[in-house]
Amino acid sequence: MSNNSNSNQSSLAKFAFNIYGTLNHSNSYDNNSTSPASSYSSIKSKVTENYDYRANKLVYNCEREVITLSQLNFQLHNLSNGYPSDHGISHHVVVGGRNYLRILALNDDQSRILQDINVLEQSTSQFNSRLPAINKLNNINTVKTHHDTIAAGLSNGLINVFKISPNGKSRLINKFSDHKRSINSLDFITNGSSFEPSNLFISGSQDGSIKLWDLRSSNPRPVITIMSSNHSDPVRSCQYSPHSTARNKMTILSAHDSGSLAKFELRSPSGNQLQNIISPERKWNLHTGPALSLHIHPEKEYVLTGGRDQKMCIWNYSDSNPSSNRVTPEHMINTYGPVMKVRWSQYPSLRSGADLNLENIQQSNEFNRFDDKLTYDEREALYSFPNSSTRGNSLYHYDFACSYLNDDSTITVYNLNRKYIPKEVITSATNKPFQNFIWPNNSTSSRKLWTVTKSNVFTTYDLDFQETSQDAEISRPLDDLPSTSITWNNGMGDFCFVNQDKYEYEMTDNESYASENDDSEELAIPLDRSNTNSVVEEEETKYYDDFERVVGSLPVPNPGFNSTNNSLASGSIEKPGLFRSSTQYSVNFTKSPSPNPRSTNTFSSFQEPAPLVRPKLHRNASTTTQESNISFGSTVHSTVPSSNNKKRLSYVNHLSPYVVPVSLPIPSNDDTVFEALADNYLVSIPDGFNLVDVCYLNASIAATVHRFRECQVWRMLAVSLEDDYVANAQQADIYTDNQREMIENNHKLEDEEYNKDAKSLSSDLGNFVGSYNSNSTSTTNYGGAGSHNGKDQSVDSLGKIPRPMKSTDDLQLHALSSKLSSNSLMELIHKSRGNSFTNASKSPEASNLFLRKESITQDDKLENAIIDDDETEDVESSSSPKDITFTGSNNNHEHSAPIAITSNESLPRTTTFESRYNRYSFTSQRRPTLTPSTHTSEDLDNENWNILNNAANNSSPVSNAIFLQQGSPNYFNQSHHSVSHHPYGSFSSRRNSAIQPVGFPRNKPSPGSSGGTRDETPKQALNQVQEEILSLNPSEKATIKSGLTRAFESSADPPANEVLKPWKVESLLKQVLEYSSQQGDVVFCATLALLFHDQYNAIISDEVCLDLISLYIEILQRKRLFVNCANVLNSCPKGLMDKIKELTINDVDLRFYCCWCEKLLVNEQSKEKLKDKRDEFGFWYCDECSKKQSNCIYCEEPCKGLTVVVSLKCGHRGHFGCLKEWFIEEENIVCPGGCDYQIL
Amino acid sequence: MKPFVTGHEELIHDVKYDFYGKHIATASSDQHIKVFDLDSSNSSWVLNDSWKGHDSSIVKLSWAHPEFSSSKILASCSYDRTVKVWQEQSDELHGSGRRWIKLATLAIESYGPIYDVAFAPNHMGLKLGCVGSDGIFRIYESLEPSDLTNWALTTELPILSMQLPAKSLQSSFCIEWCPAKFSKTEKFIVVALDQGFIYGTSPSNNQSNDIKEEMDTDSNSKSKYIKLCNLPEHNGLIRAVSWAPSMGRNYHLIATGCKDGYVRIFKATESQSGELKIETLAKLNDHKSEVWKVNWNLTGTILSSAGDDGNIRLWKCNYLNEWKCMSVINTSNRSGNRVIEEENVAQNASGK
Repeated sequence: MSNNSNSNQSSLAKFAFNIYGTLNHSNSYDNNSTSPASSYSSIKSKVTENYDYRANKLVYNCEREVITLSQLNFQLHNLSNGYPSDHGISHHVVVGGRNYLRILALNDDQSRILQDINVLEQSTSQFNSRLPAINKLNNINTVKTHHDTIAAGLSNGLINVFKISPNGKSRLINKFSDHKRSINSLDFITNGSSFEPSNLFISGSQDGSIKLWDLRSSNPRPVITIMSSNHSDPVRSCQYSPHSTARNKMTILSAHDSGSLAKFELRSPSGNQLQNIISPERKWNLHTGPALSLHIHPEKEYVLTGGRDQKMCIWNYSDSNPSSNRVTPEHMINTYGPVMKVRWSQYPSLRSGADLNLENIQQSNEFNRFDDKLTYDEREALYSFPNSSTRGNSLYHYDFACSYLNDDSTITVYNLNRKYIPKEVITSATNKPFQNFIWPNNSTSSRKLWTVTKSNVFTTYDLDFQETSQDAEISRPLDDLPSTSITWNNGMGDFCFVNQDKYEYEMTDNESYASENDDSEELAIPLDRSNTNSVVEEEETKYYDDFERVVGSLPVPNPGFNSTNNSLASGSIEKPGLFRSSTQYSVNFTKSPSPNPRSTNTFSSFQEPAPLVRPKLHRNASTTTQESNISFGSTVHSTVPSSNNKKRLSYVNHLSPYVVPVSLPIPSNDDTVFEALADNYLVSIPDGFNLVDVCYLNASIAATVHRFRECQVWRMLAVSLEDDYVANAQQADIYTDNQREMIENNHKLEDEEYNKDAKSLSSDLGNFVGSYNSNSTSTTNYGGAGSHNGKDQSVDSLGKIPRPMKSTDDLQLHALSSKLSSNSLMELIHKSRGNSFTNASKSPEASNLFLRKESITQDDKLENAIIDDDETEDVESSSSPKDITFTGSNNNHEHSAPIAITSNESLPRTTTFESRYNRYSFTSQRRPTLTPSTHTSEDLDNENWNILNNAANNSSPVSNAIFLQQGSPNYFNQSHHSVSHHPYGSFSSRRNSAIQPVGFPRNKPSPGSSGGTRDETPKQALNQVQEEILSLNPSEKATIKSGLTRAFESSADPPANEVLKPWKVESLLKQVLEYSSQQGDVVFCATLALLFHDQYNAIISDEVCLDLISLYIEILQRKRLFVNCANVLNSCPKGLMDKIKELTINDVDLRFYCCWCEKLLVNEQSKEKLKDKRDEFGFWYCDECSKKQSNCIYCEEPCKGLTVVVSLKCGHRGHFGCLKEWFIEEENIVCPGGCDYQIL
Repeated sequence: MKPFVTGHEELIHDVKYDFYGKHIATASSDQHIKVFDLDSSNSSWVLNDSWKGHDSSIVKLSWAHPEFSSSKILASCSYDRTVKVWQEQSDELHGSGRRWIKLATLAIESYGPIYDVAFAPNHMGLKLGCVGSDGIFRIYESLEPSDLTNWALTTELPILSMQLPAKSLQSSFCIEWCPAKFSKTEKFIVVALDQGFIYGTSPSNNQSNDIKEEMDTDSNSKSKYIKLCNLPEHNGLIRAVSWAPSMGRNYHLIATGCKDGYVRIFKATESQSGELKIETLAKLNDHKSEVWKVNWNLTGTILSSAGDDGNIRLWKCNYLNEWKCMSVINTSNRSGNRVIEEENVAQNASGK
């Protein structure tokens, strides 16, 4: 026996498979492995009957290729082992394939295979003598069962019919061989019940014919042959319409390779009965490719077809359907693959999302339970009569599934309620494609699927079983599809999101019913003409009665949406209200109340929508959204509603998702501010400015757009930069970063003002220029900074002052301050500063400090007043302390020293000025002992002496102690540093005050700087001296640059233990960057990066800088601020320019071909030749033929470079001047090229 | 800016702004893609075109950077197992359905739904990555800038080696490119089911252009990307992932939305050798239900997350480096109250 040879081979695979199956699906697969040989003995004892049976998925491995399956509803008695079937339905599967036809006897709940019966074997054994060939060439293509009859269509055109006896024995009762080619489809002609034997069946074949057979006749010829057309159009699928019996007709539908659906009426006289050939009564071309499958709806005269064009169509084939002339089907579902099989579900589905009344379902299930006993008529009556209104459109109740051609391993289950998203997708376990499937009848009316795959596995799935969520092979796409979405725009806080509800797109019963009714209304249009108006109206009123009843029973619509609206209105955010109805119910409400059936169609409700109701989308229920018919909201260019009205198709009120743009009301999300900042921030240091200036300028810009925080940060940076400059310029050796200094110096050298001032000063100072260079720079710097401050202040107070004016102001101030004479001017500056900083003063601590200092400096003022009469005027002013100190330093160095002390020692209030003064003198005397006095004494003059004193004071332990006292909480522990690094000590005090936005820092610079110049530790003194000696050298003092470079050259070996100071620019910068990048303030960050990268490379590393700048550029591009973008690009730090440009500028390669010899213009030769004269080189001539390109038509000279070229319409072109001369001065009207083209 | 009706008949699964923020594209289960133009005169959105893009639910969209083409390019992926690339035809009428033509159909090799498609950041060139239920990450590159219909599959990375989505019936895949332009390596995240992987070009090769080009040849395409690290801690399907722009920070921020209800924020620090160290910065379960989307804003400072509870939450890092919910926006009509909770916003504003 051929089976035996295979069995060994396959047993291993089968064994493995069953293990796999068992592993996955718990118990009870033991009987799957029943070998065919021992089929009779393989009946296992039944498992304990629990209701959890559905967890067990049936898997049976057929050992041959299986192609088709069908359900056998026939009781096999002796199999069930005391397992009587109460329901009268038996569930067995007939699986057919290549040389394979087998009944798999299932137990009652379809959870186990009790037995498998080889039909072929038995049949052959019985009929072997008569029909010898049956065991060979039995390529079964399709199988259909009815009652105890199995019809198997073979691929060679043969039809074998078997009868099953209750004991499982089968015998071949008939063979029909009239078809010439393979049988594709078989169907029994029944009255709808599977319990009455039927003797008629039809077969559809590849040869294009459908034949009707009678089992009773001994004639092997068909009763009727149906040809759909004269030439052969293969029948892929055919089915007898059970609904047609109601009208005493015999309707057969067939799907053809041509893509058409044909409808035949067997009892109509149109067919040529004599030749037994009937041509189709109707024919619809539904598919563009072959239509491969069809299935008729269990309740209604609708047919589902599937084709290779990846579509499924649902078509009303009833006689009364006037829309049968339509081109497009009523419902069309696009799928992702060519559809091979389509099947309606046997039972209405429980719907998950929509709130179907559970009772109804129960009820209907009651009916369904015994569906098979009912005729279609009965069923129809059952469904339509009592609860048709609540049940809605039964078309929408039945799921349908499709399997796919080729290698697609999925079956997709759809429901018309939600036709776009499949309800379930079943993927076969082994990823093998499905061959065929059916929805079996079962006792619980649950939606089950029986499938066979191309790997010859029979599997059952239960879609209704809740626990299928654990079944990896069934997925519900709706669970995987995101029901919400959001996207950020290019603003900092602009985004839009989708406003939708996951289940609102499911049609409710009423909607589906409405759409059904719309269909009937549609029917009514032609019927109207045929004077059947009254019928229709009656129908409709009935509908509305029903409808109102339904609506009345519905829950009250959520009143919450009114309040929604109110709350929206009360929201302070400028966010538009979202108007929509909160549930589908309210939609129903709007259309329900009207009693007039004619006017209360869905249109009227559309035309007068309640303001709060979300605009309804009109989904055309009868056509899918194809390109031609887009569904529109309110925002469409074309005017579609009118055309909709005109077309008078049926519509379903349908919600459509909203997209809601939102703009967060956070400060960083202000486009105008962003633009203003991007426009105005200086991203590079212009000529004549230094970084400090730029910071102040940017501060004022930030202030103009009310970014006061940023403004303060800029100022803070500026202040600390100022300090840094002082320190840098004068104590280059302290700072580790040589490169920074270099650049800084470069900046300074670029600074014209600086040069000017420095020169004037140097001339003033005569021979000592070299040694005082640094000193003088500091003062001028401060003058500059001060003037900027003043200007800033004026900008702040006056609003916007144009930039040129600022700079003149600036220059003026500079010129004045460089003279260092006018006290009043300084006062002006100080006042403005004071104002700005008193405005800015925030922290109570700082102000406290300020007060204390003021109280002390009052004492000083008394002293000062004696010394300098001018300053008594300033006593009342808040900025007086600064004035005192500043002027003190300017006017008289003798005074500057004590003032410097007072400010440094401002904390110990108890000490009187005298005592401090005493101490000062004391320390100044001590000073020489501390430092190598010999060197300092070399350059003795008044100033230096004072400075030294100052420094000595600073370096004294007393003052150090004071610094500590004075220190703010974040003050670093300086005690040990201060001894060894006195300059830090002194600077720290100054910077500390600089950080407090009190205005106090401003009084420091001059004494500070003067102090700083000579503030030296013993360790550094040598360097200093060296510097001085060098700078005294006449040859070196010629230029400032040389002096300064010398300065930091001498400081090539910096002190290793640099002190960390929180007010240092580096740390400030770091903090600021960190903070604003956290805040997402990209303008600020990027501007900082652009400005500071060169100098503070350690803080703003290349990567950070690149990152920030590229992000900034991208955002600028997104906002279409291309000018700013180019600006930023051009002011990129030099080192990074290339990388950034690589990112942002994409070169466009243009290739030029010689217009004479048509060769590519490379001009390598002349490139070589003209290496040094790049401007001569170009592509306006051709090396090859030595001719000029694109000559002016008038003067014969090439148009090159940025010449204005005018192209005429004739294609000729020339210089603007030439053409002007030709056309205007010489008043010609034709092209100078002689092509007779008339310009005018 | 007013909300506007999209006219989609089914759920919208993705909505995306284009580079300039002047267009919005929406992808829906009704198999249509719609593009809306911003009418700046009255700041309303007007339908540019609507067309049937796929034969199944369209789940993701991605705009190509405008530098690659003068007319806009859009990629879409769908459960119909394909990725399609579309280009706008500016001479066709608005709303005609013909304005966007298909340039290419990609990913036809995969026999399963495509869950995500994303164009790489523009500095990597015109390429897009996509991932489908077969668990293979594919990169397609446009070989010729002049011919955008020509795309070549350059990389295939099996993400789920050997292990097919077996345990869970739902599946979730997404990808996200690292937006950092000057990072040492090209990096991207692929999320497959409940695992997230960061892949990147091998840090050892120095990204010089010649080497890269060499790597692009077919022979090396498999070894081009190596797995750098995993995203830890997820107890369910990862529904979404988002990689924040680095904004000068020396670390990367990655956020994931998970079926277990958590929004997680990871900090990935890149070492000198290109290795990534992942730390969890925050685990936020305010949604208390499945989180579907997470998105960073342009500067990587605000994270939005959208969950099954119908709310969008915005997260921001406060000064104590804690991630706090900044506001909650109701996106559906389930609870009827869709006002932005303002206190937080106001607080934030004042804190600014």
